[in-house]
Amino acid sequence: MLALAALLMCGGLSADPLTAALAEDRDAPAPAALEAPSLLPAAVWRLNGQAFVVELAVDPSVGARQFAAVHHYAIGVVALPVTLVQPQIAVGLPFYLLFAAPWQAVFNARADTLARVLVAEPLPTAIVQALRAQWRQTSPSRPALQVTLRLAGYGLMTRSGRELEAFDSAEDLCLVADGRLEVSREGRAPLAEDIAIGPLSTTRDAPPPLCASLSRWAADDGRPLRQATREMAELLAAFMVDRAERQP
Amino acid sequence: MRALRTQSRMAWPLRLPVLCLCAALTACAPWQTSAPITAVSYRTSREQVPRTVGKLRRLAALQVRVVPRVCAGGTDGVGHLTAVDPTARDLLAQRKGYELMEPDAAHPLAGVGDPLDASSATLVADLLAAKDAAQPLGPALAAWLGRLREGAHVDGVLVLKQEVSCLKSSPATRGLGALLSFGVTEVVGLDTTQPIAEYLDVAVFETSSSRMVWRNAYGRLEQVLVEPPRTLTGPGRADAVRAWSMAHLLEALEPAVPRLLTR
Repeated sequence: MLALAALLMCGGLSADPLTAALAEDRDAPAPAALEAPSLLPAAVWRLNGQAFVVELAVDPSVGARQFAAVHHYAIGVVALPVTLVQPQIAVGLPFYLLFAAPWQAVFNARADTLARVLVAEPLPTAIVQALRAQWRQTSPSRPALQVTLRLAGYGLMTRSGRELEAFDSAEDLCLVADGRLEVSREGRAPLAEDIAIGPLSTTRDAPPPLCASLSRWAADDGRPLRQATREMAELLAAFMVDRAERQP
Repeated sequence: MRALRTQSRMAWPLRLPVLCLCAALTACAPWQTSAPITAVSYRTSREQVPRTVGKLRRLAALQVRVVPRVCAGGTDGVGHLTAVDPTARDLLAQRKGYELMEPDAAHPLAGVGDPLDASSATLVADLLAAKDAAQPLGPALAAWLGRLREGAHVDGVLVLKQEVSCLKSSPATRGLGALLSFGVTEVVGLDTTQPIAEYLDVAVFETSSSRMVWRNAYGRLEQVLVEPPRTLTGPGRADAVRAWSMAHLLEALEPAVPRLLTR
């Protein structure tokens, strides 16, 4: 019981900061995010006159709405005296005391794991690392150009686009990213293109997003999400290389 | 000690239902090879997510429909190639990222495509036999997979078997129905040849090694354990149930390696 209580406290109380961050993300529209200053310093890589810049304008989103598990106990405790007046309410008490709070605590712990992984693996840095491996200088006399990827959305979201909740966790979460890619070359108008990898909209040559259940993403301390994040970085780097090579 | 032995003996009748349940649940899970899988349509990949069957991005998709002779529309009980179900096609191509190649009469693929062609009929029979028995492929099928590999750079072949069932082809169901209705179903002369269920079975074969690498089924047992939603009602129920079943069957297939990450 002590261990369960500790789990509930840890899972429930640590949920609040993440919930606040998620609320901010939800309120921020995509165009405003594109105009807003980058939260992290831009990751830049230069080579022989070519520059690759990656900016992340938003915090990674976990796509899960968390609720402190202790609140379920509070509901149960408040409902206890009410049962003296309305005995029917006693039927619902075991739900809150035995099922709702532990279920919510496990949900919160998994969402926290995913949030930790997304923060610990900064996407711009991973994209630049992937660029270093992918960029092949096809011609030494290639003119100088700058490729900028400004990410306006990144993280996990459900297929329907709404946030996942503890008692409706059957839906899959997909790893998504969207933003604007610009290729500019001296003396020419920059080419801009919106890039999206997600269940609701996907760029023509982008693959469908990787989707899995919350428990599967969080398994083994978030290893599947860590791998998928690296693959997302490889994909976005491949976009940058592809569009740069297409520039005449 | 004796009490412990007695308790151990008594535990077996209790364990048996649990083991049966575990076996039933295991039957619902897709089977997947543990051997490494090789694709032929690309040389290198920068994928970061470990994949097995997802490496076979370029897939030839074949759907085989089997209608028993005693059921309405049944011919000889042998499978025939049909167009791939739209739900399965959309799920594989748009949600899983596979490059599907669907042979038909206008676009035959390495000798397969025309359902009226004698070689196609033999091939379908070979495919069904290999899939049902999980045996090594016959020489004709292996040679055909080799032609797909060399000629069309196809990584794998997905075979979707759709087996129609009617009361007449299922004596056990018919007998149970007669028993539960006190023989009324037999007296009133129900049309027992009409389809009552469709059993789905899917297998993926790797062309580079000519062996089965993945398999999943939504058959009699699975349909008892995982029923389609009861909200699917109305005149289009059969189509809705088929679409749900296809999605349920293929959802377990892992996503393909993205084209952007391969060369």
